[in-house]
Amino acid sequence: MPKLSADDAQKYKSPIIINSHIELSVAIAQVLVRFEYANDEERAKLDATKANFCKIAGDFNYPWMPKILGWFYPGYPENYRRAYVQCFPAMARIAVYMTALRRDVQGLGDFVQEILSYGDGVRVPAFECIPEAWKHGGSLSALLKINSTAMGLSSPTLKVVAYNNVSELLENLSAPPTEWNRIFRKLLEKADLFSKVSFLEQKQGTPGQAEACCKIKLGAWVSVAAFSHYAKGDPDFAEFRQHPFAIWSHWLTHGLGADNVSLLLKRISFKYLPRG
Amino acid sequence: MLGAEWKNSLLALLDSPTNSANLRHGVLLAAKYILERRFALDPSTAFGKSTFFQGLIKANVFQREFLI
Repeated sequence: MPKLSADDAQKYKSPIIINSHIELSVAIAQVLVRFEYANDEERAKLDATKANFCKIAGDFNYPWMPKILGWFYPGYPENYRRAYVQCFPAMARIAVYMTALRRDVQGLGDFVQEILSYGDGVRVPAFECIPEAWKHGGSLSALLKINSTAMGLSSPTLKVVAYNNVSELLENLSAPPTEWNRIFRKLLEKADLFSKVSFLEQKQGTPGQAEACCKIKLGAWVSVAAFSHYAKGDPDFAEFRQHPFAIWSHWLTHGLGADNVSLLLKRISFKYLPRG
Repeated sequence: MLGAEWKNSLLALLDSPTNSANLRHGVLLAAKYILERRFALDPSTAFGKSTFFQGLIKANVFQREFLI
């Protein structure tokens, strides 16, 4: 991949060609992250394959974007930002897949921090492929934190992607039942953060339809998590018995931009949601 | 696409010489599309002995350390 790309880069000096090589790598990475074998021997073989795929990249740290371009085009021109800007979305996607193949959630967090200064043309493709890339691995808590960084930004598109990502990560989770309690606890730890962001948005204006829908979807998970804790006898969730959908109702009301949240709902959700 | 000969055709396609950037771009797009369709058709045979990836390396199209 890098040799073929480097040869083509030298020969054609074309951003379109480089971009095609990066896209080809993304296609291969998408297949690699999709496979998880139950058999230990096959898993070891697959992990070795993934490791070899990542080895081509060498060091993988800040600043990421120029380094990624360097894999595909060694000796790229100094004014690459202008000439090769069309490669940035694909570069962002391959970076996310590389971190997933390396199971490097810290690396993903660092990369996301770096691209926050880029436009939506780069940020959105990067965030969009997180659920697919990290479907089979990674700390849920860390992934929630990474996605929550995008929820506080001003871009509505990016916020929708981040909210949907969290829902997708939860839906794709193949954890054993014994792990769900820990997962729900992690989700509830983040519920406060999600909601604070939501309240901040409410002051800025009513969210769009896509934004409201993805919040409602995620709110359902928060509600399920709360119900799970109540069902296990957690005293913090005693009031959840009478109004099991209270937290989700709060999200529904808030997500739709209404201002008639009842005192009861506020009281029940007081512990996990900030005062409105 | 599910037979063994498809990968040789793809490798030949990637190796095809041209001085045209447009033609090269088309070749790379076609290669990506074929890869995606191949994996969608039968992903279970993508790894293991005599896999497509091993074929790529033997053909030295990609770097040897690319994949086992």
